[in-house]
Amino acid sequence: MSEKKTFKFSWLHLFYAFIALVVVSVVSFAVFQPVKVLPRISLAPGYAFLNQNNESRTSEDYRGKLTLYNFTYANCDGDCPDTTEKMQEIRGEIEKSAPAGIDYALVTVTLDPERDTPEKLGLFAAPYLSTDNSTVSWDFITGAPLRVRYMVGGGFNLFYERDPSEESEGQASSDQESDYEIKFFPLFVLVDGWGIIRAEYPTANLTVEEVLDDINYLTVEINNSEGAAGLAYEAAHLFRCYP
Amino acid sequence: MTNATEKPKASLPKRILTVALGIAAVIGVLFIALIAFKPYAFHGAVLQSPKPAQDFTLINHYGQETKLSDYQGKVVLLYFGYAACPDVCPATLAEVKQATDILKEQGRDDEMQFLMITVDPERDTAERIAEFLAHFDLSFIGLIGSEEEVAQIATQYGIFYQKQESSSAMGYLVDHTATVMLVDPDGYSRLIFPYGAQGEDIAEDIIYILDH
Repeated sequence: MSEKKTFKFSWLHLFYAFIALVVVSVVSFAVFQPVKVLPRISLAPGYAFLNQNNESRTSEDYRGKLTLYNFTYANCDGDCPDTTEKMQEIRGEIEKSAPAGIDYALVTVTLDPERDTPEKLGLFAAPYLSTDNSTVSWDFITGAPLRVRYMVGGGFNLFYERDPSEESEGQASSDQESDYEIKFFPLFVLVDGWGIIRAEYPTANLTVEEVLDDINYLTVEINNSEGAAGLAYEAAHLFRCYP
Repeated sequence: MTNATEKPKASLPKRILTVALGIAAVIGVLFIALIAFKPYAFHGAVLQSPKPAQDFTLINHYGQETKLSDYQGKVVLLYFGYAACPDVCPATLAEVKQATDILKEQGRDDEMQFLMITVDPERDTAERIAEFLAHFDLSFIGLIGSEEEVAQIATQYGIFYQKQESSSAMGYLVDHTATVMLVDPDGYSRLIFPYGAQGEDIAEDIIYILDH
């Protein structure tokens, strides 16, 4: 006749239960991400440029705001991956659906500062801003070519160059100088109020939902940055670690 | 029929009490573990960049070539300011001085280095910067570069600066981002301290990074 086994409690069982509980908790936290955070990728570049109204715009003007950047130039047409219409669409959605209590801004940076003066950017921006009653600010900025290169190439890691195949041939040198296209890949960058890059979208087909989701994650994190909730968010960042 | 050698079974209330005590103990241990292992809350804003901070080479106020990477193994506090800065820089350097003093008290001041890159290369000579920094701490090092060198480095570190004409006797002023960047001993940008960060808080973060 088989003997019936009875469970006998011991402190070893308690120890095993504790270890199991810790492991299950950590794995669940990492897998199910009950607290979702965006990585703190790197510092956004500092700069001092002019906008389409010839007003000074510096990186400090966007401190405390969630700012979405895109990159293009006024002569961008045809095959050029212009993302400005997408910015307009996103602006409308932020206005409608983004959480209140946070300041938002859009910034379009020219990749062609040689030709894109503030006046020219004003003309380029006009159709996007003409029916403007949005509370989300939108600046089109330009600066000294070398400083723009430091900012875009060095700070946002976006490679761009004049497309030699598109340069005019057999024309006067002054025309060659003014008739060219810029080769670049489309890119949007989301920067938080600390000036930290939190999301990069290397696509021309960015969906508004994707940006709004990320904006929501950031606003929830901002609103829960204190106390026990803040610790949970810091713990969530540990699972997004890089180096 | 009961075997005489078999231990008597615990009564139901006693078993319930044992299980309850066990559960309470697990919760208690978890609670203590949560407190003991809770993530450290930095006073500065945290960065998690996968790339090391951009290295640079400038001339220090002793006239020697200096790289950021020369300080690998130490915590570096990196600041962009200038000698004629009337208020923001002195207030920030006073807090960094306090952090340095706290580390000195613990005999760990040789594990950190404060570097100030001038955003006024036009006026800031080595002598001028040396004189300015000496008001705070002799271990502080000033770095000088050309307009373009400084502009490039500042851009990478998220710093804006531009001249502002002023009626002040000191001539023009330079508006600039007033944050202090912490680069960890492995050469990664880890924290940004806003203007107004307290010396004790900066010291606490430095010590945590040195110890972890």
